Amino acid sequence: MLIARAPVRISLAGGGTDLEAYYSRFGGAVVSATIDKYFYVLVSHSRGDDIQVSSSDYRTFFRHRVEAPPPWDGDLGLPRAILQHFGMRTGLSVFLASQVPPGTGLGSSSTVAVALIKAMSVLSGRNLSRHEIAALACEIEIDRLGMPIGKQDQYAAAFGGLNYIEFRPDHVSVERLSVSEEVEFQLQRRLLLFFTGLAHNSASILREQRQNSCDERHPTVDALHQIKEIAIETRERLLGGEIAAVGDLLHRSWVAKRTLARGISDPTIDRWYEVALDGGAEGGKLVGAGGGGFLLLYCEPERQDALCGRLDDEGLIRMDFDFESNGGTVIMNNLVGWQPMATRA
Amino acid sequence: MYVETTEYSVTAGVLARHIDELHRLIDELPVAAVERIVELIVTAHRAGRHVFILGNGGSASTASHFACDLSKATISGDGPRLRVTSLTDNIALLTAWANDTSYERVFAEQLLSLAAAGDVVVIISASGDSPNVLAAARAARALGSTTVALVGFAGGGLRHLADVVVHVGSYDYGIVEDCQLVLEHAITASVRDALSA
Repeated sequence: MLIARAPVRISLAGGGTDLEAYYSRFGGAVVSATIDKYFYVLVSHSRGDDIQVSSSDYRTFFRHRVEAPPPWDGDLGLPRAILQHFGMRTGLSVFLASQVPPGTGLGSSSTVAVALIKAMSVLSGRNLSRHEIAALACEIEIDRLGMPIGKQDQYAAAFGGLNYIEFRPDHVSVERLSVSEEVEFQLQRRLLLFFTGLAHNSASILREQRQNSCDERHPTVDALHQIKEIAIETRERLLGGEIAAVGDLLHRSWVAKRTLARGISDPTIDRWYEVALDGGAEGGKLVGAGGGGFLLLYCEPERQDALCGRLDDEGLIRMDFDFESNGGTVIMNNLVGWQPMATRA
Repeated sequence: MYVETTEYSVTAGVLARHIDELHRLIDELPVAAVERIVELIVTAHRAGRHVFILGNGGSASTASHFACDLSKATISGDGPRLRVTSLTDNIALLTAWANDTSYERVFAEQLLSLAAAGDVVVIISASGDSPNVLAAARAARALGSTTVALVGFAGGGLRHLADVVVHVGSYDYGIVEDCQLVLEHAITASVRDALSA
């Protein structure tokens, strides 16, 4: 068996500027940190020539004969496309499992892509670099499958850590923010994640956002300019060790982000955020495209008990986490020497 | 009209004291803060954003009055007109929130329906401490709207919640409310001048 995993991430600033509709004209920038919640891919032999993929999170299973043309639809479209890219020849069983529910804004679909590409890259003996893994994940998700998503999640999951990521039309650069362990620790202990219980459909939000971004005079473009400026400032503040600025930066990101498309926020989410600010948080935002998922809040340690109490009354569930810095990795592999697939001609 | 006068008039004494106090407080009004409010309203207007106004009791009536003046008395030529809404005027909605949820939520919930980043929320309150205006200020902040507070007494909690505060230093409701009417007329006139310039 081979087990690969890739971390999900919390986006601190800049989300939305990683969509091609924006960065191809203006350049994009995000700051994100990966956390110790992972998407796992377990690969093992399967008898016969079939390829089997099952996923507990999507409650789905698929079995496919090698000779048949691959179908491209459904929740397993992504793993199918990746397996096809690596050119299957031998029976293979793939199991996908996630530590966070799908549709919760932590970048899970791209995390799946990175974990699976990492697994296939090692199995096939190609040993792709982090950059290559992220770029391939983007190519398959965005170009081949037409998902209306950005590029930040693929790079965050492939590289891991607290990063400043810049998006240019022909290049993505990843800068690991060189902050001391103490600064990273102090930042982490002031960030809280709460599960709203709402799963979103990021695709419909991002589709509208992409549409809005195409019109230069649309307010969405102005809001994205602001969001990018906030990402640049977040990088500078973190490098300067100014953690206390992060609450306000998150708040400014959120109020700009709310206006990007309909469905990012709604009165229930707004009221939760209002309660959070009243309860002691200095700022926060939904992580991911919006519409639900996880609410990220910045709060000084001495106020956290009171804040958690208030949000608990509202039915929000806190998820403990730590930062992680490994990115996509193979954590176990006893399939060394087994060649389940041929390289593509 | 015939007005009966007496040698010793209680009314005249009250009136004189009231006017003296008004004189004193109007002289003390912070002109810079008022200018800042005018600038916020003009900026929001030019960005196509809205102004919302709210308050309780006498302040509710000032909110309606202010919304009326800002909407109509600032029109100059054929340019775009200010988008102003008083949250005190829909009695059905106010009483629905008060009855079904709580009086504290009557303004905050209206803001959750209507307001967004770039909007200006003007909160009028004598005490600055009514739970529903504090809730409105928090909701406005959560939505990214800019908050302006016209307050009296010691300024209350609003003093710390709002982005711009104009404080009238009196504990007399009548005096505070009179000053707030002066403020709304002065702000309206300044906005009109700024838009026609």
